Amino acid sequence: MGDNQNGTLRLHRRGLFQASAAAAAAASLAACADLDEGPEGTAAGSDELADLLPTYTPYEGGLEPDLPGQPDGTVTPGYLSRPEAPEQVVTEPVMTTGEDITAITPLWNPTPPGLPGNSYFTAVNEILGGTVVFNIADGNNYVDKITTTLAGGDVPDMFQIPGWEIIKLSDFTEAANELFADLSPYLAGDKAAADYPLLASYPTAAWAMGVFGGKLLGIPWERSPYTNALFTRQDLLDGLGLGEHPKDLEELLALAEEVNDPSANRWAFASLDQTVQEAMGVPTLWKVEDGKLVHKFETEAFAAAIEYTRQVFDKGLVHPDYVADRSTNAKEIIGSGQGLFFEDGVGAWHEMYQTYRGVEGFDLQIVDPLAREAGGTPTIWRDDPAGMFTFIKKDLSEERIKECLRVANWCSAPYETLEYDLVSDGVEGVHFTVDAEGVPQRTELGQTEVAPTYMFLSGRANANNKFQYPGMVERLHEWETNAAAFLDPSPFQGLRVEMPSDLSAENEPMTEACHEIYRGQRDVSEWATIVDDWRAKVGDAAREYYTKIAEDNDRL
Amino acid sequence: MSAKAKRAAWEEKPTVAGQTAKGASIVVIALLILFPLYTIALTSLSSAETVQRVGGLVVWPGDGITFEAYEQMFRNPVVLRSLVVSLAVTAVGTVVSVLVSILGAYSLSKPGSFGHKTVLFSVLMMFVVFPGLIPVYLWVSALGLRDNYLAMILPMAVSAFNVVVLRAFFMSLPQELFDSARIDGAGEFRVLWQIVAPLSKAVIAVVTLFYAVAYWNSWFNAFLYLDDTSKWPLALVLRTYVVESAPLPQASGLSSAPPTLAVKMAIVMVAIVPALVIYPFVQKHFKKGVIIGAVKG
Repeated sequence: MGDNQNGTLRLHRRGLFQASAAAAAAASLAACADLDEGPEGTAAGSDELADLLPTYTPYEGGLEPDLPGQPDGTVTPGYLSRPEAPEQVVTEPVMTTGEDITAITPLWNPTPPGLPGNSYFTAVNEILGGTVVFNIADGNNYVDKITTTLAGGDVPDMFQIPGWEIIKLSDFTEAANELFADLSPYLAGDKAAADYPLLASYPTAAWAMGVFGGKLLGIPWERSPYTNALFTRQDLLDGLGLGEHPKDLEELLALAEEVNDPSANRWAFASLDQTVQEAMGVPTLWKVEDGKLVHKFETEAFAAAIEYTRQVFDKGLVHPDYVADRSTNAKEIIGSGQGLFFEDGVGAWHEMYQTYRGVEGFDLQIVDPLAREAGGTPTIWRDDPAGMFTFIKKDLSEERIKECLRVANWCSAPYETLEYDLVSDGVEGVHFTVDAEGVPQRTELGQTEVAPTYMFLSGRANANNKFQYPGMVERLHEWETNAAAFLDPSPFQGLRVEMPSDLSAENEPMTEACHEIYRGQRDVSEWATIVDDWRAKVGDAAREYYTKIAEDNDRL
Repeated sequence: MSAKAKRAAWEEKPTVAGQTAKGASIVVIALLILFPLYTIALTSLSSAETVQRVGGLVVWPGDGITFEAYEQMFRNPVVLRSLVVSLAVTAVGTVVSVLVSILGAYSLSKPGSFGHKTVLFSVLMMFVVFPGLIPVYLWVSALGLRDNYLAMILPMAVSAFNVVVLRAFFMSLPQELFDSARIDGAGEFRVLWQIVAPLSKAVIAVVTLFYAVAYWNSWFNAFLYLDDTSKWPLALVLRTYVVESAPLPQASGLSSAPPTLAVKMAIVMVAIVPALVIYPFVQKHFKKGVIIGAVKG
């Protein structure tokens, strides 16, 4: 997941703000929310926002998970089977005004047919009691859709905006406050539990992320805190008689040297970077040392991680495609058996099974967090508790806003409900059938017509439910339980901090500098100078900015 | 002997070594261009299993060919419809663009025409100043073109580069032709269509190709302005197959695999084939048209 989001961030912006004098005249055509280059950064703490948010009220209906999760989201509830008959939890139609709801949502999948030629949309709309008209936009260029729509001021009734796009937009908070409805009057305290019980089951930390400029504007999409995991081709390791997983970096290196055999077209790693940094104890972004903030680049652990990774590259343990291009598709290297270890988001695990189920004996396993040395403690990077947000148009009538919230509530139904099936896969027997293992399989019609759309009108509780792959649910539950103990105790935990654009702009050059060192284009000793330059350029100013936020929220 | 000594290197009789080196260089360059195309074509014709086993683009044939990827792509009705949209937009857009560009270039080739300097300056300014995304979006919205096919044509109807190329070519035509046409009583339109246009076939063919390719490949305007997926052009629809699908936090699509590499390569083939097919027909004009137009400006 982390990788994918990074992938999204890498996408170039197409000169959005190159407005000329003529352009300025054009811009005055419509009252628009100004968007300048990049955010200056703001922060909001969940403590001071408690009054704005819904009271956390767990959803009581449905199945008990086979493997219990943690309310803070660090361990996802696990399900080992699919219920015989998923329960319908919202029985009344939720759209009652007779008006359509317009929505802009991103798409990272093949384009579905639009209404009226799409039976999936028709079926779901019938159950909702009205029509949701989607304006689907390519997710990889979504920021352009957001900026133009916000600038035009003509926002749809419901607008899905991912957090990784929001951080690219300065003054987003002002624009959002101008264009989107304040949801606190409808949701704060116990109101959500009474009227929108599925929305009330989101963790409070996720809701806190939906507050912009002191107002609750966004319905959050809860996400797991884990950004990275190390995976291995267990079948190949077993075949070499080396099936036991390493526990620390020393064991990883020793194992890698044993399995590496370029003459047999087999390398130990298809990708390697963040795993080493986490093992070394590098923080997600900042850590507190002697009462001061220290950025991850400045830590001894980061320098040690670079040195270790360079050693791995020098020994020729990394697939040449990754050496040449760090954005190469490591999944393909693993799938073809040319690499044994790779790192990716946790979600990559089941995707790999989905893609490579045809490969004989394919067995991919997740490796528990590695320590720096025996008995050491890794730091698992912590993602924000919410990654995407659904906003509702401001100048709608109260009844229309409630209608949009009811739709969001309906779309929030968790796993094991009929609504979840409808949102994910459509109508059983039409768009999908349930196979012998209890897994929904799309029909040909479903493959053409069902696309993630209603899914983006809200979030929903995470579910560890890939039980079709034997052992995956149990093993992921175990991995999360292990990893939770090492989650980064970030000084900014629970705060929504918008990263200043000049700091985020330096991420890419710094990552590239690391890879230049890995590849041997620069010496390891240069890292100290690189960090000095970074500090002078943006690091010290960023520290000042983050220190103020930490002090304002009693974190320092 | 002395005459030979004065001859430049390229006037000498080619040596065998020189000819061989040239031939080898041309072959290498051709291979550098053809090999990627070959691997793309072969991958698009390979089965998903073959692509998985190879772990990327397929280089060696031997596992047989299959049209699975093309079938899978065209199974989606949106793809077929978008093909029609693209053909229509390319056809209409190219006609509009070529007409407007010829008219604009012709008037700008006549010093003293109405507002000549101001308009010429504005056109040249387009090389250095881009109006920006948001202002153009606001204009298109204000004109009521949202969700309208015209939004794919009008914002890119005139390319300043093409206008300048045409203008330079028109200006290179002998003044005597214009004078004699005038004496025969021809007006500006008659001069343009019966004298200038037939003499400028080469450059017009090239500009037409530029416009047609631009419309065929255009997806961004559709992405911004067309809300209804049934109006999307092929380039935008195919893009949704080619881009890396970013899986969602607990993404559904529990059972539908993302498009395979073979499908992606099939899409690349569909997108580039029209340009490859058209190009040979205008290639002869390409040299004549653009180079003459460019250097005589």
